[in-house]
Amino acid sequence: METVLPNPIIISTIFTKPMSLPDTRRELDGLQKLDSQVIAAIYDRYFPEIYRYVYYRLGSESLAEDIASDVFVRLLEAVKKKRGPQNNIKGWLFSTASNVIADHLRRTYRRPTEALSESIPDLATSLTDEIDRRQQTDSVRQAYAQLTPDQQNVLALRFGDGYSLEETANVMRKKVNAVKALQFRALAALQRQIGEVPYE
Amino acid sequence: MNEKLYEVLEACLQAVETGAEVESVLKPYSQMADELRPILEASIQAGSLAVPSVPEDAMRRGRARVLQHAAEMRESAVRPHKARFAFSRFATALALALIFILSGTGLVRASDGALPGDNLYPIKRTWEDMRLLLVFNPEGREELEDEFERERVHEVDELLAEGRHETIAFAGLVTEQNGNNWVVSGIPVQITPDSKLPVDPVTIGASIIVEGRTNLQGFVEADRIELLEPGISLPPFEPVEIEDSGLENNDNGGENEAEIDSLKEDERNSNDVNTYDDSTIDGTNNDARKNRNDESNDNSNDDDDESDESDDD
Repeated sequence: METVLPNPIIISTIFTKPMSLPDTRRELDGLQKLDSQVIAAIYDRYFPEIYRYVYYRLGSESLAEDIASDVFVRLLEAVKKKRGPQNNIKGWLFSTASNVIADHLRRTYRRPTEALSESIPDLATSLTDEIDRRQQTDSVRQAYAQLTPDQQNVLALRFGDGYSLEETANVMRKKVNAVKALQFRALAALQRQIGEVPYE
Repeated sequence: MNEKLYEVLEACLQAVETGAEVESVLKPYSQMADELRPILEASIQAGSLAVPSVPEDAMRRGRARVLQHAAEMRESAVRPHKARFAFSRFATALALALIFILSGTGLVRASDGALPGDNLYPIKRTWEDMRLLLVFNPEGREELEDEFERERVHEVDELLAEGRHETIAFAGLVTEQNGNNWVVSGIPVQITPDSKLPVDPVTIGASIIVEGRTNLQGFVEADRIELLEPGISLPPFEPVEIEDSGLENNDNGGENEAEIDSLKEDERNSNDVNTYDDSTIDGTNNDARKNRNDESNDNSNDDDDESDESDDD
């Protein structure tokens, strides 16, 4: 039986205080020195968030695992080349994840492949229910893929990572009000794409 | 007006998250209900795309990959002459070289899948030493040594799978420590009261040599743990199936997935393109191109913050 980490609250109301600058400096120094304990600590803190973000964007566990770990490898390389984060490791990780995802999507756009479902059907539910559920999720995902990158990001952070408005604004480097507006438009666009309920 | 709408939406999202029905949530906001209803319904759909949970295995594998990469970077930064215990059999290899050459490679091939304790295992190890002797390129030799060290990990994994009791030794990286139960390059290792440990503490990320015995319970009982000097290359962190390709070295380190290969290829091809600062998420999704027209209405409402965005692509 595989152990799993708990899922976050979908919409967080708690604003997690960002790390202080001295703490970040210490971590960046540790990264520069390739200190295993510092690397492991940074990885343990941020991997679940990056994984959830990538999964939300792409809907694939294997891609989420590969890309999320790849982001941390890139962090090590970037710090070594003095091109890493200056004071916001989390923001850098999300930014890089977003770019890796964009690269991946560009590739699949050029070489489209039919993705196979990875998840194992829940034996507790009937096969019909499972098929219905997957079809429903697939249609939502198709609709989601039609959104702009910014709209996809705001939904991934808010509903995939469970970030508060403030945290989302911090990662996206936007004002909270801008995130509110973006979220509204993203949800409206999603509903429009799903087409179940006409909007506008 | 919009500001009020967004505030109400946020309150409604919180309520829906706690399990409230959309209609009951909208009751206090009857004037905005028609506008908010489809948004809230979309939010429920949006929630369905989240991953149910983060698999611990995925996290463990990723951690191992990252720590392995850090170890390799440390090695490349230091890279002294590599301490290799394989070279200790130099003389034996030289003496047997002629015998093997004269007897052909049939015996060697037969020993290819041998495990510690098997009759053919010494032949397998000696052949490995001979192959090292025949490689004069330092980089080629390092690759070969890495392959052999991966093979050691693979052998231990096989022995554990078969539930055999054998004396083994392998080099690896400590990726987990839970009391006396460690994971070294994907191999469960138990530290017993009789285990001889180095004076310096062994922490996660340390490069070590494990000497011990495999057992039926599926772990290695450590007799001795030795800390490796910084700069010693290590096998990968998960036991990998070494492809049986005769005497040729075709192992690619276990990364066979086309997706990863293409990711790395893309990383190489667009190394400069993917130089990121710690600014913000942006990303450009070609899949979203089709939505540009639909988005035009949205763009007209965008806040001034949109100008903050940069497109690294």
